[in-house]
Amino acid sequence: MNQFSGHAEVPGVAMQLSRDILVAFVQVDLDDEVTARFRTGLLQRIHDTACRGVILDLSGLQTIDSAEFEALRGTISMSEIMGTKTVLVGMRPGVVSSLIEAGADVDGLRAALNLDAAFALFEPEPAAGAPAEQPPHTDEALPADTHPENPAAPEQPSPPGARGE
Amino acid sequence: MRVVSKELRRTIRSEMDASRTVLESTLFSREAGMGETPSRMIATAVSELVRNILKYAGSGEIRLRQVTASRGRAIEIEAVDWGPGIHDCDAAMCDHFSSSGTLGLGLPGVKRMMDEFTLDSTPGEGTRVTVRKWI
Repeated sequence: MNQFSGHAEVPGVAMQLSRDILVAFVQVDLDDEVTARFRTGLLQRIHDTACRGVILDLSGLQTIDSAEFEALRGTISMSEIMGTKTVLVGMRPGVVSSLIEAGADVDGLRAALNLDAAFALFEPEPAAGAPAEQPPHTDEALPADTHPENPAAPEQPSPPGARGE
Repeated sequence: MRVVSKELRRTIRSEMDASRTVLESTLFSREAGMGETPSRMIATAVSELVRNILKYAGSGEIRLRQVTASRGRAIEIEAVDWGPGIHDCDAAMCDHFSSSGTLGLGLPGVKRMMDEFTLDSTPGEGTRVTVRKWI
């Protein structure tokens, strides 16, 4: 294991620190050996860089089976326990559908469509009341109760378009 | 009636054999005219099957075939080993069942990904899993 200490090189996985976030590009399939070296290398880099978060770019994955995915989840849990939020990025449609069909447990995982969206997940939420630099672009970001045009909501929900005007 | 137009046999003894066979299975199904997503399902199924071979039997064989049968063309995967066999096939088909205390055999997932699935196992003699996915 000593040979992987310090800035460990993991064959098939490129790691880069960007905006204080460690981005790992997984370019090979995660068989047992790659997984073991990746796990050691990633945790070491997290420790060395004290990064704020980890983005796992899985766009290079050709396949992942249920056991490989479970091992990946283990690695993600470990990095979370070290205190770094982890976001998955770029899984291919075929990989995702196989994974779900294979019955993989994906509860609680964070994912983003691309690197930009993943980095955005690490940006601090704008403080309440302060003008946001950028308008929130997701429905989630809107507080649920800010609908001044809809005071005293009716008891029973009305179907969309059923309201007057 | 079933006509085999192409066959690839791979002995599985090590993790390296397994990885290579998984990659080859993607190419095999792409060459047979299968789309991107179903090809990855074939590869994932092969991955689950070789994992079982290595874990429970130590070694075995994967046979990939391009076949023509009742409903047209299909990719057929046959995973054969001469290991301890499965004692309770019904339980093995339950999600999260595993006799080695780990994740399960992945067989229910394989069944969901494929169109046809046959599990044939005799305790003490071995296991044969045959699956098909139509192209």
